[in-house]
Amino acid sequence: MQITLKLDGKAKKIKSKAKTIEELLKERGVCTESVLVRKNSKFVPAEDKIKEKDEIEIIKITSSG
Amino acid sequence: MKCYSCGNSAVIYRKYEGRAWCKNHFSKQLESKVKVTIRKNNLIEKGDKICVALSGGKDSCLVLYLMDKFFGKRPDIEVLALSIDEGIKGYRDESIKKARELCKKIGIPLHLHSFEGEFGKTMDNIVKKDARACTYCGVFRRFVINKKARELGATKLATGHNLDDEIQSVFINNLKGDINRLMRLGPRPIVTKKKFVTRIKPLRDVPERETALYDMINGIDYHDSRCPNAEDSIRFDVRKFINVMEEKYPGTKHIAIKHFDTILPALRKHFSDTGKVKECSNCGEPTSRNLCKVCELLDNIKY
Ligand code: SF4
Ligand SMILES: [Zn+2]
Ligand SMILES: [Zn+2]
Repeated sequence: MQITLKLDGKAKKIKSKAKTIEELLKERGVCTESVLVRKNSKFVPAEDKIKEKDEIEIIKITSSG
Repeated sequence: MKCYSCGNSAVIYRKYEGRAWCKNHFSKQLESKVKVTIRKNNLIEKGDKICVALSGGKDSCLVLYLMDKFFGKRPDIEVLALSIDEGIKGYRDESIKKARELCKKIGIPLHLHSFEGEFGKTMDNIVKKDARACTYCGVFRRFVINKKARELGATKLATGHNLDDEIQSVFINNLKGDINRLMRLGPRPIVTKKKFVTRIKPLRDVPERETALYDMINGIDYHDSRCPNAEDSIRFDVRKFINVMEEKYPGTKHIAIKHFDTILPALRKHFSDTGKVKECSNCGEPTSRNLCKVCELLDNIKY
């Protein structure tokens, strides 16, 4: 399945076997606790399903000092 | 996923409670959670003048926004904001821009003070003299915030510490064996000693990713980047560890903080805080020593 992954402001097309965003995060070694995710520009739970051509954006949360 | 309450599309699934929530219900719940924290711990009372320490980051922006939302219309409570410009080019100037915008948007007065104005030096100057930037920065910032809040007549100093910050501090002080610091944590403010303004942490029960989400879905535009001087500290590793634990064992953060709050009274009873408050012999600000840390550090970097 091909999806668009947006990370750190950059978008790229990737192939993934993940069925959910959570699985996608796992594939990429990202801890769900340290990010928020948007699917097709809307905030969604990481447990949401992914389908072909979805755009998934990973927003890293920085701790403010 | 659908909202547990109304069935609209969910913006978050809280693993620790097993429920998903839409934008509206998530926001309402976060607000009531903060209200409960305030009420349960008596953080704000009639007649308070609440000074919010505003960095322009996600947490302090949220504290200010909520303090205004909850208390802004109360005739018996005053809310104001205080920002400190440490003089870190490309970082703090940007975050203060966000602080200023938010204050303007909600109509809260912003009081701005700087290291340069207070000490005649910016952090950019200090970093060139001594690589331990954060030691200076943290000590100086707490000093200026407390002093200015006191001068403004504030009765409470509200900071943006969230659940993650608090549980990280519990871990760090345990790892370092620092009982005094450990005992100063907790949901209730430590009773004001002499010249210290009582500090409160209204977001103490809100997980970090939820403070960020609330800001983003409610149009609170905050500054989001890492300070160029930030080093990989023990906090950095502890944060990672706790997040991995939370992911694997949902609810860990809440359980750990609840546990800490349970044993805190016993800790405080058993160990008395050895940090007695005196006044610095040089500047008169509150300290546990003869010469306060700020005066000592300033001496290190004399030109
Ligand atoms: S990372 Fe260090 S230098 Fe930068 S703002 Fe925080 S304490 Fe100051
Ligand atoms: Zn809902
Ligand atoms: Zn001093």
